[in-house]
Amino acid sequence: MKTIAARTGVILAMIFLGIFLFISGKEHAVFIENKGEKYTPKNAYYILDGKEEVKIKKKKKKREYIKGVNHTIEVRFKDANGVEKKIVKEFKTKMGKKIMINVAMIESDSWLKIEDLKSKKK
Amino acid sequence: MANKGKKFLINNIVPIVILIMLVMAIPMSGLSGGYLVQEMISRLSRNSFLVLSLIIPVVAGMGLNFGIVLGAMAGQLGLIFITDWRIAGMEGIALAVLISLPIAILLGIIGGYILNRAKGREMITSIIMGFFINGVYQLIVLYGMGNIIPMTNKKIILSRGYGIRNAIDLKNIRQVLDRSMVVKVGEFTVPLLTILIIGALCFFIVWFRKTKLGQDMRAIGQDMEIAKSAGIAVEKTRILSIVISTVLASIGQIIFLQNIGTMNTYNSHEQIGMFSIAAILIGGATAAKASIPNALGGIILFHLMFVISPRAGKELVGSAQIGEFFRVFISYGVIALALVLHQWRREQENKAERKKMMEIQLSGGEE
Amino acid sequence: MEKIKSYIETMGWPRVIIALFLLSMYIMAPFVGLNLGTSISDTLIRFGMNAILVLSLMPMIYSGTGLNFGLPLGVEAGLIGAVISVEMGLTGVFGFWGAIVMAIPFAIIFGWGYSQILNRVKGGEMMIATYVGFSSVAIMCIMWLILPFKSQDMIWAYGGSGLRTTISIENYWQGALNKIFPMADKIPFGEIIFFGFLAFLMWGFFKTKSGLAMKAVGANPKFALATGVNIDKVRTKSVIMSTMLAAIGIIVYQQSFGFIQLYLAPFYMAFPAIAAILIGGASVNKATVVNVMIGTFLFQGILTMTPSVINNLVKTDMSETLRIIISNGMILYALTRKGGKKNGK
Repeated sequence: MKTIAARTGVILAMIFLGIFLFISGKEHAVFIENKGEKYTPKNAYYILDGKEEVKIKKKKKKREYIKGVNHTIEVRFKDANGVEKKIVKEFKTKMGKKIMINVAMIESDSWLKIEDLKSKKK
Repeated sequence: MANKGKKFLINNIVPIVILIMLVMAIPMSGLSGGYLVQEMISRLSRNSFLVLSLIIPVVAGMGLNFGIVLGAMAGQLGLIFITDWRIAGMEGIALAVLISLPIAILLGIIGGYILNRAKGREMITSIIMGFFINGVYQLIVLYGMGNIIPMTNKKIILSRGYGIRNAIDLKNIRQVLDRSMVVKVGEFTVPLLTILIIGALCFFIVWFRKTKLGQDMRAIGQDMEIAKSAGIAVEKTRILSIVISTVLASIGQIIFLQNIGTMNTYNSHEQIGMFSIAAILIGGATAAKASIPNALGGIILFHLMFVISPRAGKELVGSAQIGEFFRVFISYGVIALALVLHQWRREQENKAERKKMMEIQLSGGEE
Repeated sequence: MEKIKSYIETMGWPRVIIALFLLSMYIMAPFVGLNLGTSISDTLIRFGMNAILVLSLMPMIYSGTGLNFGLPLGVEAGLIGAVISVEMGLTGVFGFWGAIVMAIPFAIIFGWGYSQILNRVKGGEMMIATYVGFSSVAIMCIMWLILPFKSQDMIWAYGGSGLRTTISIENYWQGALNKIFPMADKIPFGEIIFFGFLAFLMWGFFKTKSGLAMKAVGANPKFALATGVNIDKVRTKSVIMSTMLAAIGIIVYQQSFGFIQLYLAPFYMAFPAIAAILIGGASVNKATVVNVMIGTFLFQGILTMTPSVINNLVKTDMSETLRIIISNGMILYALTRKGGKKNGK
């Protein structure tokens, strides 16, 4: 009796550990673009989760992979008046959801767009 | 005393012979000492876990477990899944181990069961078993994945729509263990975490030998009949030794592949069996006796030879292709040599035994 | 009922099961779109190709030297004979016999050296044989690159040196054995007769004094020693015989296949032959000609039929993978039967 309980316990623990590792280790694709409504900076720079700074030119799109659930993005660019701006925002990635971040709109509320993940084209 | 020296020589004849060959070959190859040391450090960190996994079956009298290939395949299956799901970093490694664990246990049980039915021929049976399970692995990975087994990451699937590609870039876990904790000793980089993990395994092996299970295995290794009459569950324990070895091998293969960073889906595991066994044999182990120094020393000797012989061959003959074949020849030739020397050593031991017996008989016969 | 049971028992369950399996494959063939006649003919052709290689295992099994995992060594001798024959431009039957004649001296030398190693490792022959076999393939790889062959059909084009990996003997001696018989491309009479001839020689040999001595050395070394037989010499003889037969076997294989395959091709050749003879009912120290014939037929039959049948069933080409699973599965099956004498690792 004791061994069955022990064995089930171990298996359950392994399953939970597996789920935890899966969620915290899974890399998600995040799309970054630089396309403003009124003004688009020529060059914008962003740092995802403390990694290296990446430059993204006007109207360009990039795809990054980040691991885990909780993330921060730090964006820096010169706005229409030539003033250097630096904004830090936090966001979460979710399974099955596509995240698109528009750095040009980082100051407004529409900087982050979440869509359902469509099945990838073959 | 001359006798002790002679005994040491006989016991360690294989590593000594190889060492002599190496000492002659190193200057020929033109490789620098520093390069060799760094190479050896990374090869030790890469291979030790796998080679160490061979020790327990030897203790249990199962001979050299060519079936570690099964464990390697289990580890690779784990890696295929985490690459498909895009799990990165330490979590990726841990999850790969977690996934391959049940597979390795299952394969170990099957392997142990088969070997139990081939008592006396375990080594050659484990070679064939490795080939056989390789076929099953191919069936799953080349035909099942993407088909019956759903895969989401299209990048690792072949262009025909199902089946995994020949080479998978393991970039989400590349060098994760190795780079996490690094120590610089002089001009050499030492992957500390990996070394600590290997150290943990060594402790485990030493501790295991002292447990009841470990003692049981040693008893079986010495004499199965006596072990049976002493009440040891011989069949089950033998299977257990293979299961442990297979699980360790699957972890070892994951460590190996995270270091290299790329997985040759259909090849990475094949050579592992040969090379690990060659290493431990060169380190002085035999089919009946294997220890940690055998494993670690053997890795150094074998890999030194592995790195040096193509270069030496090239310097001698002038063709890299020939150097490659030369390396294959040396690898297998060395295993053959080690086995021959081992057999010769057994003969000597038997002769000494018989001599002793006769002397006892004669002196006992005198009134 | 009892009679059938005891009959099966003498045949051995594995053989019966495999025979039934093969039979079912033949029965299924027409249903999955395979021509039965072609299937049987394919099986016979593969039988002719491989039978002598399997036969070559007999002497060493009898003398107690174990299953000849070092078969590649004999194969290499045969390859040397074959390339020399092509180099000399011999064609047709001359090419075939020329290859054999040229291979024999090498086979004798290789076999002798091989036996010296095996005689010093009594009890552990099989493992060591495997690695001697592997090493010999590797060393011959080097040889194929550096030996001074000149025939345009064999060396790399565009001024390369060294032999090609695969050499076509279509214009030399392909099919030499069967040409004089009818239905050459359906039933390989020539090969079967040649095999029969060699098998008959084997059978006859083991009835002679030397043959019986060889059997004794394997079955009961102490008894053989007591009757004054030089064990090492007899073992050496058996190893040389096996190596020569292997050399002849690969030449027959090549003349049927149409290609000489060098470099790494011989690497794993021991395993199918050993699988075949074990399937045929042989054990590690006993093998009769009947074992060879039945085993080769069953093994090659399954190897031919199963992939074709399954490929047509599932509409995928899985032949290579299936071959690996089947041939090694059969060896495992044979190795795990109870009642083989305990032998060295």
